[in-house]
Amino acid sequence: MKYLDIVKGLDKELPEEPDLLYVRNSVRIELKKSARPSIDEMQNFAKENKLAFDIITNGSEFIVNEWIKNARIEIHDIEDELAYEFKTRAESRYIGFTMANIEKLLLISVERKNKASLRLLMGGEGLLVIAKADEQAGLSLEEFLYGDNSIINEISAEKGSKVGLDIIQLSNKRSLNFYNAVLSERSELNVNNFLCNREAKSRNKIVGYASSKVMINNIIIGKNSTIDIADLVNSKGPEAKSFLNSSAVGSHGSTISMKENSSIEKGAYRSESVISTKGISLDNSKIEAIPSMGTEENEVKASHAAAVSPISTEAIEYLMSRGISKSDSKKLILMGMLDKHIMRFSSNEYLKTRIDSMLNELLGV
Amino acid sequence: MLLEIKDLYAEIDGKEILNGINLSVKSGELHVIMGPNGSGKTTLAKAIMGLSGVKIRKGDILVDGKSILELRTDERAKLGLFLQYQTPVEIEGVSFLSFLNNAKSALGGSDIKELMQSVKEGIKELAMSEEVIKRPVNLGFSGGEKKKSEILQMLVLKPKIAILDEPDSGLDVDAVRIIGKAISKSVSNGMGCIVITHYTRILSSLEFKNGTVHILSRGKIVESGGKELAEKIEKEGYASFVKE
Repeated sequence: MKYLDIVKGLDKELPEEPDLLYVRNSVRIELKKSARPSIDEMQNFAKENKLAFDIITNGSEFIVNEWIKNARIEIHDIEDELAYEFKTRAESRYIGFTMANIEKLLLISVERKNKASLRLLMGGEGLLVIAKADEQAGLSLEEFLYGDNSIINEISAEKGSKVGLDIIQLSNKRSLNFYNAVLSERSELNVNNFLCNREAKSRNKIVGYASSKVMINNIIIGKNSTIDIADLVNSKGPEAKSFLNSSAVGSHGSTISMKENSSIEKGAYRSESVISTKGISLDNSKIEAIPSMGTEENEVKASHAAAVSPISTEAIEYLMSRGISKSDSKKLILMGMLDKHIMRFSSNEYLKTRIDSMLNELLGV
Repeated sequence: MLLEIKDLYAEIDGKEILNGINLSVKSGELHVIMGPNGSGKTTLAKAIMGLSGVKIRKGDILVDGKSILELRTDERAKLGLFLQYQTPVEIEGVSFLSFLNNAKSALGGSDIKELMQSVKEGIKELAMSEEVIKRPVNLGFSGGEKKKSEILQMLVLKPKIAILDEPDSGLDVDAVRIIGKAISKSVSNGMGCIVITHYTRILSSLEFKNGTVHILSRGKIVESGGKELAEKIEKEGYASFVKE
């Protein structure tokens, strides 16, 4: 295997295990070849769903809205040299190793004090998105992932900036999506990640410096799925805050794994970290919730909670005693668990309608 | 509406709890069931609503002459039966108003304005805070709020016959009076009602024109009578009613 090291000065030997992604500041990502959807097919999807996109790409071709405001967009064929060159331009803040079969680089940057919102429809494989918000800038990225996909996001939030990243899977096909982020002092990152694929893997790492704040919000709905998500937030500076919330619904024999990790390093005093993971299995589906916390500092607030269970029969009966059918009762309980997560997405109405119809299908409503 | 319980025997986890209950409740009637702990009061309520865990061994439950034993809980609710839970279930993330809207729709009413109107009237009648309807169902409610929220559901959903399992437990005297008044009003508007209670204090808040007090002991109604029966229990306890 061939790797690109886009972190200046980092030259470590990579571990052999394909899933062992985090070795301190390095990330190893394995990508598989997959079918590339046609741009026409993706445009039709956008039309049918009445969704307007600023960028549509299948990893090879790009359609870019020329009216994009306040953000600079660059598309590059990625070659080793360019990746190395890029690291200099991006101030060497990125933390990832990416495999050589990354073909295209989409660079999005917002200059100091500017604000930009972009909605992207992305599919295929081999796409690296590097998004950068300069000091006190605001960047909101919505990524709708189409068909089979393998996409990597590298995010850099400079001092006092705010970045939002919503990732919405549009099909039950295979997905490998990863994001890495570095949050400078007083910057903020909100990530909302929706997974519903037959097979999906998401490995994510965030490094937060002083007074940074990260909120991760994951929704997973599995139907005969194998979904594996792991988030790691590494607080490196004082008063860094992290909130990791995940909820999963498993059905039709799904296997879902949620590993939420938070690590507070020495010097990150007065930091705060909260992990909350919930799962409801509708049948013999397996849901694994593994929160993990580590702290090298004394003066911190850290808490975690994880609960996985079948849907409460007591709650179903209570709702049924008010005339609500069994399947509607189940749906009401599941939506009750998911609703607060859904509302955090920018396109929450679209997502709510989608999840509503997915639950109808799962529950036979 | 006529609810009839005929020679009902029921068990929980293989243990016989109800031993031949006979009871008839018509629209506009009030029936108070009293009895010592473990006499089968809550099991009777659960059996009427068809909740899990209660196995009917013998006998029948009929609504307007038709057996409901084969009906699911939601189907029984659609016939007009309502159970006020002794310990209401907390449901995270589902707002009380959304829950009421779903229940009202399921029972055939879908006018949101009408729903809001009856919720507001109910809240006022029960001296509740309007904040309650924005909160998740029963989550973070105080004991009193939970009891009142159950009665609020009864007022909004307007059942034909309500089974109220200890609506007064854990309430202060003012709250008991308010709930008693709301129950009496519903009964005078034609709702049939079974009130399960340990205490006589709610009886003083209920209008008792068509009321009957039943004493349940060891899974069987051992005596029925007027308000004086409850007063006797208050003075003497259940000892004279408990049959070996």
